[in-house]
Amino acid sequence: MPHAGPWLGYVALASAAIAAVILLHFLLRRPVLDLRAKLMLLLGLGVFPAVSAATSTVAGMEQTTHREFCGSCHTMDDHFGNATDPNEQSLAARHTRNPFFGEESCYVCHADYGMFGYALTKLGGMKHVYYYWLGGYREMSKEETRRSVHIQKPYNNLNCRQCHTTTARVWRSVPDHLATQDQLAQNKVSCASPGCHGYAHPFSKGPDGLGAAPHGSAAPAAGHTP
Amino acid sequence: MSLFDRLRAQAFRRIESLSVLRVVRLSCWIALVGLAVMSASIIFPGPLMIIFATSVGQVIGMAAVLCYGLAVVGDVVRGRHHPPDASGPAGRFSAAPDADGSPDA
Repeated sequence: MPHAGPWLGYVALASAAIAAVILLHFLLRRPVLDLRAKLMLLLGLGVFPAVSAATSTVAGMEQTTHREFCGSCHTMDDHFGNATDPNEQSLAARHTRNPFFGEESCYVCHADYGMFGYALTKLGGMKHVYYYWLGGYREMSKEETRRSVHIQKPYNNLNCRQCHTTTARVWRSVPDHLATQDQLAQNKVSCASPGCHGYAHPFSKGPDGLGAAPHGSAAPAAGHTP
Repeated sequence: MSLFDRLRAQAFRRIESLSVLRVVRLSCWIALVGLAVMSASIIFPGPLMIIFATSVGQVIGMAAVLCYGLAVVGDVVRGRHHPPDASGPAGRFSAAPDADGSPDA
């Protein structure tokens, strides 16, 4: 999704405002329905609403890629806090500090890539909305969500390789990279795993690598971070 | 008369019986609701608001456009020179307003 910027939202609002003025003028002043009024209605009911619909949809979709949008549900509070903590050294935090895509770090790292990647990512997002509002996550405490919220499917190394192509000399100069190259390509070894670069959100992982351990039990997997 | 002709005649009768002005006004109200929903999704970009605007908001907008299209078809079907006592007020739209300024008099 290309950067549309905030101006798209302003275009949507301006178009909606112009259309609303035309429609309210017609409804309240009740002018004679002559050719001029019909053409004005064409603008008020057709052209400006179409511009508003198109731009607001693109602006809305753009908004769903922002980090604040992902962190707007309380189940993501810890992930959001971890990613935005300036002193944190987790993968998520370091990538979020990247000025190139940090504002959209959740989306950039978790999006599906490929021909239908954008649509599939949005469908996945709809699942999150379903889980939150109808799947019981909304009522869960933060403590409960720490244990039960986990990534739906194993993290795809292809997402890392969108930027880290694995062909640069620096990457190839690391012996472990070369030794695991095939396994990385087949997703048999995850870049974000203990022993490699560590979990992206280490606070959220228990000893089993799934949910965080409840308080008082085994220590969380923060120590896995290299 | 074929089935198609009968259906077409029935559709034309129904369209002619519509009050074009009423359909246009309905279209305006529906469009205002749709525009409000779309604007709200820009001003309050929460998950539910965006999902609502990009799904229900679009349907509301389409309904407004369809109503407007129906009014246009109704206007075209009646023609410019239909008698003033034809069903629906479309024939009076292009008439000059009365002394009190009301076009519907």
